[in-house]
Amino acid sequence: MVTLLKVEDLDVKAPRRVALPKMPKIAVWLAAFWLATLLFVAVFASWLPIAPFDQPNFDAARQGPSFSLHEPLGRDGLGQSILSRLIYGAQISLAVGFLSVAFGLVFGVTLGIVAGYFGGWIDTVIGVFTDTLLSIPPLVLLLALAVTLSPSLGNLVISLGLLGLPTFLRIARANTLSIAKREYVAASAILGAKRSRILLREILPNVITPPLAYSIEIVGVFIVAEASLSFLGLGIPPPRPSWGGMIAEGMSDMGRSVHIVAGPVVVLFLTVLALKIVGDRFRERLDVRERVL
Amino acid sequence: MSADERVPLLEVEHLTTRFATDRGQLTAVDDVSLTLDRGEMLGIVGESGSGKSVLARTLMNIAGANSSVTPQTRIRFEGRDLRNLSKEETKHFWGKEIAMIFQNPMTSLNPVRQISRQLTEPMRYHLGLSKREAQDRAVELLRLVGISSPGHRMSQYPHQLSGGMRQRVMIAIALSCEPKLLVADEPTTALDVTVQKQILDLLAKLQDDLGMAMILITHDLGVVAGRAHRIAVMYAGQVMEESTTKHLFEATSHPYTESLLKAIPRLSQPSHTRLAASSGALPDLVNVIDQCRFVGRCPLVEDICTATMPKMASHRPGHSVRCYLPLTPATVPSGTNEDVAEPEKLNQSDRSH
Amino acid sequence: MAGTGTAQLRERDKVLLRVEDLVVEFPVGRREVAHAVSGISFDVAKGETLGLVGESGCGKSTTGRAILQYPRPKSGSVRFEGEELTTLRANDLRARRLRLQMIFQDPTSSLNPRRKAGRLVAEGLEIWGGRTKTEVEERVNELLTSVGLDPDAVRERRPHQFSGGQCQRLSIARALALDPELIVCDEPVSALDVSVQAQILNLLEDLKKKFGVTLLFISHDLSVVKNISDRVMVMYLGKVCEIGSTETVFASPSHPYTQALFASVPEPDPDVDPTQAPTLGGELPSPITPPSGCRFRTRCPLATERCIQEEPQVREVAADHFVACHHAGMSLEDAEEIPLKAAESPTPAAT
Repeated sequence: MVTLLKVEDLDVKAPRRVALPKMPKIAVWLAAFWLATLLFVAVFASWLPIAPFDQPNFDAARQGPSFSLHEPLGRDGLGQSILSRLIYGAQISLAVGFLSVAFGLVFGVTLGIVAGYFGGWIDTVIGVFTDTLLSIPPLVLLLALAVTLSPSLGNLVISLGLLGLPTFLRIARANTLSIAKREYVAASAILGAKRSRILLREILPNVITPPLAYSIEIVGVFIVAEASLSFLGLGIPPPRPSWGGMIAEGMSDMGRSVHIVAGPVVVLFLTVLALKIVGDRFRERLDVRERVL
Repeated sequence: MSADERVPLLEVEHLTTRFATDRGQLTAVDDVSLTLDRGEMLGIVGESGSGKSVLARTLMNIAGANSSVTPQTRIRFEGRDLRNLSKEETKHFWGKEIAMIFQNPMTSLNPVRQISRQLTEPMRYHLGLSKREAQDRAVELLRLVGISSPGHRMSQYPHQLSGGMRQRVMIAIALSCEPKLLVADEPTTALDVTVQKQILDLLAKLQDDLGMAMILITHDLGVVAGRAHRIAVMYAGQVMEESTTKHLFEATSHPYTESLLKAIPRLSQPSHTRLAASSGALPDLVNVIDQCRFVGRCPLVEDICTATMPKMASHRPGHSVRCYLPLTPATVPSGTNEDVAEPEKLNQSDRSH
Repeated sequence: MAGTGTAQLRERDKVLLRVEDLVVEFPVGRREVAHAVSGISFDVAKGETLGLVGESGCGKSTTGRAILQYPRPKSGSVRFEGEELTTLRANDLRARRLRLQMIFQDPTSSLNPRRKAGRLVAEGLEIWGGRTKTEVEERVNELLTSVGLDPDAVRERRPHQFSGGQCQRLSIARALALDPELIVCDEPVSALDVSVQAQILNLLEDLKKKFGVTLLFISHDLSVVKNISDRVMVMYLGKVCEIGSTETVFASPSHPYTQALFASVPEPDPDVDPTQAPTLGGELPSPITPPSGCRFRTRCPLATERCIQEEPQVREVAADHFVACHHAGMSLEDAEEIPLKAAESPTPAAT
């Protein structure tokens, strides 16, 4: 088999950078496994043989944590199943995490490409919009939105999405500026391509990779953000459980009922860590492909 | 003649540089031997992938962290073994005894430092000059390389100068410690042709004035034709032909050199002259096969060429060739072997795999 | 600002492309403007190859793109097949793109790295439609073969798997797909090795004969331009210096800049001493504040007072040989010295 040797490869110029130690493969597999499990139980929660999340059992509560085979994680102050609440809470966390990132990604990248490609006053207006969003402290923005809008999943997604949007926008805009100058874009226009074709087929595929690479890690960030809001009582209202809310509930009585707090804390930690590990690997793989291209 | 003058300035023997790559050890420079005398100019000519830049960097000890040189490699400068310099000697050798200038002046000059800093630094480090002394000398150097209003230029930054001026600054920096040898790696490739002539004339003049030897690396045979004393032609990491300039052009012995000369369009030819183009890809330098590296493109391949690698042999006095069948006036191929099909189709020369 | 004149233009209906008084400017920073091309005129006959030669900053690449209206020039006329392109509406201009194509300097960055070679070459065909899938595939195979690539080996590969020369062949195939009348070649061989360069030049000559395509060949390399062009135009800082048939311009260059340019080309001939040839001193002036009168006067050994005040117009000095110089025909060797004029004021004293 003939190998087409690229002559440029032979003139090695820069010394090879020392690579950072790679994440052991086992860690990536475990992380992926955790996320897959979480996703599975969250999606199929209603079909799982667990107690409903809003079934108080005051008798059981009076007896303490009441760990049992049936309830391996015990019950909370109201006697509700912690395991169930964690699983249903996962639904909220994952939904908010992924949807808000999707929101930020879709709108951020679109606006970024538009700003970068068209320039002029369009770029200026979008720039003002972005700078405004960025200049408001995130917590203040979230609080303001939480107070003014009714706390629903949709509003939460939009609020967090708006927070993430500027980052994606800026990355997309910067990439668009550099890609729009490339000769293959000019070639496309000279061949007679309409603007829409150029934007969709030449610019978008080459611009979307870096934001996409970061998106998985950002999901972790937003899950923590959602938990924080719920912790402050500004997230999804009860009886829907959420990890942050559960931490808030259990906090007042930490001495006696540390298990109420431990559950959501550990799950939150594992999920964000797993997202970071998988996100890193995802980014590495995309980088390698980019470098080849 | 003192003993000093009998010893060549630079002696390179069996220089082989390898790089560690994902696919294995890549032999970028293979068994290169050269000598250079004081005040001489040696031209090293090669296309991309020939290894000429890696050769220069190996001489300057900046080939890169993942490079390695074989034990048979010998580099001697004024009789001293460069592979075995003491730590003290190393500090004040490169940049002082041998200096280098590069192709792209924009990336070779530090964009955030003033010209004066970049000029005075080597002098203060290697020659121990004081700040004042170094600056005075720097202004002199700028004048020497033909930069107008040198005092003014000292406080400027690289982006405020044109490409030609930046190259002159780089030459000034290289000459600041009066090196005995200047290695110039494609110094004018990125410049306009009129500026190129200015810079090449300048280098020739400085060479004369300072009695400096020079190695001029280029892909353009025209650049070395009227300026170099000797020329070495490289291909796929090896020197294929080495001789005096006159003999290289008038008694071309290696088929590769011949193909290069035939492929260059010239002002002296009428327009629409058909150029002799040869096709074929470079051989794999990781899985090196023991045969002539040029078999993929050579119009005169015979069985012996694929049997073992030819060694550099003296073809005439002062003229060495790495070929079993060096060209004589009778054997110079008249046609071209232009094969419009791409390597995938050249099954008969697929032997490099 | 006056252009360099139009004496060199031939009859309107005899030429395929006619450019008159082309002006292209680029904004620099907030207030300033770079005068990249300032009033040039030339034409190209059908089947002809016009070489555009000059050093960096002369405006040759800008001219190439301005002809394609990418972007539209500031002013001037570009008549292609008798039709004025500068005033066409966007949609009509797009339709004309079928007949005017371009190939670029950097072989790898002119091809979308994510596309396979087959799709890249077919891009024009896909944009304009009207063919079935098989027809497109056949045409792509035809094109790949005519540029010397094996369709089966090449179709499924991506640009990074090809060498520079092969990428350039793909670019050429892509440009030919729509059967254009005129192809603007912007330094197509500058990034290639000598041996590959020769292959591509030969390929272009073959394709010219086979498809009858007209070329505007832009390059800084004089030998390459001489090899491929029927006529040649030398530019400096946005102006035409000299234009005419390749034979006459190269045999007897009349503009001092052309002479200096030719003298600077290093010939691969060991008997030629390059230090004997005249060297052009000085630096290229800024295109933001170009010199008044003749733009070359700040480096020209033949410059006189008239050159500061009056811009030279192109005039005929021989059959199909036009020069824009007050001292056209004088040799550089006649000059007494190569000056480095101290008072290089780009603007004239108040008159």
